[in-house]
Amino acid sequence: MILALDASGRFSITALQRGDETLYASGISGRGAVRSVYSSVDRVFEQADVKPDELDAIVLNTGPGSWTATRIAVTYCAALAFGAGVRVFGASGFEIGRRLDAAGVAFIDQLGKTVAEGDDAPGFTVNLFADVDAETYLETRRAWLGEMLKLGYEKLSAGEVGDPLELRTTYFQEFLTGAKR
Amino acid sequence: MGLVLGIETACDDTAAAVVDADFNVRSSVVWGQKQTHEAFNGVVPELAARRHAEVIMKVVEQALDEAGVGLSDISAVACNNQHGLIRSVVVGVSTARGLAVSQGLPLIPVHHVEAHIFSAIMTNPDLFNEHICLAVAGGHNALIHVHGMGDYEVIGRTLDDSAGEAFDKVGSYLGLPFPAGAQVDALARRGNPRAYAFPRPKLKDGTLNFSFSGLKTPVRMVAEKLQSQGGAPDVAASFERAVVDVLVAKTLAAAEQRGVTRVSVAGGVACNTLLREELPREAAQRGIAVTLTPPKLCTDNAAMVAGLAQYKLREGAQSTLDLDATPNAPLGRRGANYRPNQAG
Repeated sequence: MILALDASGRFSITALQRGDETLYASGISGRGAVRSVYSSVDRVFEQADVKPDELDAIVLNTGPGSWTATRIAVTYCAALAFGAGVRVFGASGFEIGRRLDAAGVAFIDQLGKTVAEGDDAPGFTVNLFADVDAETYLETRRAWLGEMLKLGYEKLSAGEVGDPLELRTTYFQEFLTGAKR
Repeated sequence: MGLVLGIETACDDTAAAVVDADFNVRSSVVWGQKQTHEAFNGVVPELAARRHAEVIMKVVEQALDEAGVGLSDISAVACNNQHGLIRSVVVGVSTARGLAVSQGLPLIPVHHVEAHIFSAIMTNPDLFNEHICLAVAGGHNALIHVHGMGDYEVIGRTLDDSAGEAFDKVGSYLGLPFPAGAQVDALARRGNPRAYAFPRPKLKDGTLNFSFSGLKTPVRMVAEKLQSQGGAPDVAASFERAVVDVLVAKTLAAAEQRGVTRVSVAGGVACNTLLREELPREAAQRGIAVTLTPPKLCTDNAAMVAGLAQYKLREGAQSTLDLDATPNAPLGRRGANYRPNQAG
């Protein structure tokens, strides 16, 4: 059973895969990044009626994206994984995007800037802060969460350690050389 | 109640500690960020938050290891969620909540300044009773009438800079790296405190408020002129004397005005050598007992957070997972009008 969490955009969104069943949840909106991250994880646990130590792994989008929300997600997942004794795998948004389209992904940030990994045209663009409600946001990013779950299973199968002490945030500035304004 | 794991990330110290039900500190780990902020002569909030996020789990692991326990031996998790830099505070809150949820443990949020007040109480149970607390550090500077636990009345505050900020700024004028409080203290031990007659701001204004902003300018002017002539120790000693004179006088005036015979000092500036000498000496002449918080508990630490949570649990505090980071929260019942960040 794997939990995927992405808090890089306007809403925190989660997916939990148990066998063939996948459950999705978004965070409560309008109450700040802290509660949005917690509530999205709480809600998917409640839907599945599972506890953290029943997970096999957690997969997290480490950014780039919302600095504060992603940092909250990183520290929350690291602590959850540490306490529950489960593995936690971090992947940057670019790594996840390349799995969906080999040409890669570009993101539109809070300021409306488009940020990509390199100068080549990306395969697709994700507007992290599109002016939509939480349900619509979650709908548009289901495939993304699904890919994160797949990534988690692959890393589990490969025997990756998934050490919570090594989980890190990926910041937009690390990709500024590829930024397109 | 067994062991409480405390987490503290208000500013630029990442801290975790384990404290038992008798307030014995079983471990206390503090990971400072001196090198991160040194070049900026002050704490850069975003960089502080990044460093917290990078090291917090290692600090927690070390605190558990040093206490000789695992998370399964912990009875509750506590964190400061009510004072500090917002980006830093959320790291501690998220870590504490994640650990609590992972093990189904109670989560107890506390106020950073109340935890500093409690750091003195942990070492002297007499302070569970009414007393005056001088809480003085880089991020806060207040005189608090502690009517009892949870019942605080802020009767004096800084109107601009805290004493801790002034120490850091003066340190930069003297070419000392940030944070400079301890180094100004060390330098002052070699200087003449009467070399320069720096002002004692608001010493005789009849209030219990402080103001240290105006003290920095005359110190800077003298420091710039004399530093090349080796006058730094005298500048440091004279500056320190001015600050301590004000802190001591206002603290004792507060006790006398309120008819209180117990005083405590908490926060990073409570480590200052001259303050630790002068306040007990002056207080003794007026029949006032002083409790100096042990240096290890003066600067930001998580033992004070875990200790305060132990007390709250003993008094029936309820766990809450529905918490947010509110870095400018008021302090206590009568302190409802006091928001430490606004007071410098």
